[in-house]
Amino acid sequence: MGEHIIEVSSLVKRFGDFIAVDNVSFSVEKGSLFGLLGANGAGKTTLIRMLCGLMAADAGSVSLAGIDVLKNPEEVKMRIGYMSQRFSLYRDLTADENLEFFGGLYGARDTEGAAGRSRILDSVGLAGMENTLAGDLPGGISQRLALACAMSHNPAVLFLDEPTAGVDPVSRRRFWDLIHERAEEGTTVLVTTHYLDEAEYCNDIVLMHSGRIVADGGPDEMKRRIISGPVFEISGSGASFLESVLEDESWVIEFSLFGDSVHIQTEEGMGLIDVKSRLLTLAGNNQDFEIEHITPSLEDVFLRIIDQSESEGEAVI
Amino acid sequence: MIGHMIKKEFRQLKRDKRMLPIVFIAPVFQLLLLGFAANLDPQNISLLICDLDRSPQSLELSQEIVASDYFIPVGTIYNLSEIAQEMERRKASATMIVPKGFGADLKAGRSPVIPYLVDGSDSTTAAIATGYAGNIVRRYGLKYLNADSLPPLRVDVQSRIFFNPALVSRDFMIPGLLALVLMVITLVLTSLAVVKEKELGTMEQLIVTPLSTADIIYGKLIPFAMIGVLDILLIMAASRLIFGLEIAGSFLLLFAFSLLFLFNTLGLGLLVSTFSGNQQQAMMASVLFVMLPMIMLSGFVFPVENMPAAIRVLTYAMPMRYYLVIVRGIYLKGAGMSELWEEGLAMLILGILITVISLLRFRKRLE
Ligand SMILES: Nc1ncnc2c1ncn2[C@@H]1O[C@H](COP(=O)(O)OP(=O)(O)OP(=O)(O)O)[C@@H](O)[C@H]1O
Ligand SMILES: [Mg+2]
Repeated sequence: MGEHIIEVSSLVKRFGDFIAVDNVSFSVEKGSLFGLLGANGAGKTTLIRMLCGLMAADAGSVSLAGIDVLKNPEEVKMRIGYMSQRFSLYRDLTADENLEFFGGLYGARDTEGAAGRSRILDSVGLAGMENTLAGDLPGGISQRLALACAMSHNPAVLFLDEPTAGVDPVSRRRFWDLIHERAEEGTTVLVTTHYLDEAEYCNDIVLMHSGRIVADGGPDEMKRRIISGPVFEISGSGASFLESVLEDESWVIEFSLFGDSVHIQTEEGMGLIDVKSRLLTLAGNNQDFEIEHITPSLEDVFLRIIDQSESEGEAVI
Repeated sequence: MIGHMIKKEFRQLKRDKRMLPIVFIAPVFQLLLLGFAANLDPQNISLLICDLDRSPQSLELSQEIVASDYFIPVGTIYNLSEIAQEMERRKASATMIVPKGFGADLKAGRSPVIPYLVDGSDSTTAAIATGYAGNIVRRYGLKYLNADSLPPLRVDVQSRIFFNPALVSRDFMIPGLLALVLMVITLVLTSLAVVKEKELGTMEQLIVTPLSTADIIYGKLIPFAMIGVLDILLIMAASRLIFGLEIAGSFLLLFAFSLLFLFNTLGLGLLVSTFSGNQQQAMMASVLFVMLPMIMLSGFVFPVENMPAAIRVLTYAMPMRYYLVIVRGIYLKGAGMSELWEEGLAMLILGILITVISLLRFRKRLE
């Protein structure tokens, strides 16, 4: 492998004075599962729309399977499937009719006959729901229908914009199984998500923040690169007090709040016993806490990166 | 591929429970409402007679009128100056004046003048009454005037209609209704259908497919054009069956011009949709910026000739102005291509203009 199916270089999108996508460059390997991450408003949807030829760019270039997408958006259409962030099926058509319609637009063979469509619907777990209106399908199931509609023509690249947002964990799992199947068959999948556990499934990820790419690489590689020291999780009622005094400690490289608990990253080589005794000293009367050595999650990585990029941003101003 | 669009559109229309009534029942309902309101049976018009002639002939004419089904005589006066006061007192909705010399003119074989004065606050009644009274006078006149030997002798009926110079009758309204219903159905439905795709996010999904802009637009417009054609036929059939209104001119010519009008209204629907982000906006824009001006400025309500010059200029931009002339001309006067080609050309030019502008504004891209 190693062949790049998508090459994005210096892509810029402005809405008036606001820069939604700011000089973004990256490339996607053929057949890989590529994750595009970032908080709300980071510019993920805007970026994907430009990659699909849905939206004009202000500068830069996108090449997909050798086609200049920004210049010839129509030429890529048969090669890509796109599932937009918003529910975009016809609610007043049945599952089967939606599939027939979208398959028909692509001239897909498999969706021409009812038997073919029912096979596809089976494969995404919609057996018996052929004649249910898409608007009446539960969220998780309708997302699988949308996926089936987006890939009826076997596109080389699938763009999925937050396909699992607001979907229950079981359905999310099934959806990702489908994505994996596709990727194994050689389809390149570019997916955006807010769920960092999902990002762990990806071969490569890029993290966007305020329209810029602030980190990229494989999930494990990123963890190694960004988080050098060990990470500990402090939980229990004393955790919040500790959080307030950690700031002045030079051996704490980074700390961040995760719900009720605090994650701290310390200098390299520090062990659990060592850290615990230091914390007990700091805690004073608030001895009621647990501490545990954890493997850093992508969340640790991203909070770290975003902290850094924001403080850099401030430094510039 | 456009076939898939059309099929999908019809499936959606079929599934929309509100659609069938809007598309096929509302036009007939409007026709009934307007048809009956415009012309309740013109019998029983209370009529005052002002006999200035006091001849045997004027007396006979009064008796003819009394005998007719259409009028209830409320009395006879002999002085012009009493008309206003007596009409008020006797609640007459019309007055017929028999001028001095009526009898003498008839005996001499000359055509007399019958000024027929109508209280025109109810223009429909006025128009109908003028017609019926004219028939009675004409019939009576033929007793004295030889229609064969002395052409063109006839009894004139002059109507002086106060208050409402635009005589509107049912026959005049119904062809106009064809224009109104076609506009409402095609304009509103088209703009809503296009905007709905934007609003629900399905447009984004359509844009990413290999559908061309033309496929998207025509896939949306053709189903509504078909509905428009069905409505044309429906209204024509209903006008004939319910009100006995026959097309005086060529059905095919009227049909062809109706298609030209559809071309305009569908284009306007598309244009409205390019300015609207959601269905509510599309509805508002259709009503405020297209339907109201079109109804007000096309001669549907107010005759174009009575408008101030500055406003009359605006009427030239209304496709319905031309279509009304056409549809009334063909329906009522049997007008043909030679009289109507200018209106047809104007609609064609406007239609092309509207379509080009909306195509330029409609992008197969997101903004
Ligand atoms: N059509 C538009 N006009 C103006 N601003 C826009 C437009 N589309 C997006 N934006 C702005 O651009 C920024 C990036 O939006 P975008 O939808 O790409 O973010 P996102 O990363 O997909 O966010 P989310 O996770 O909420 O989907 C946001 O601040 C948004 O308000
Ligand atoms: Mg988004």
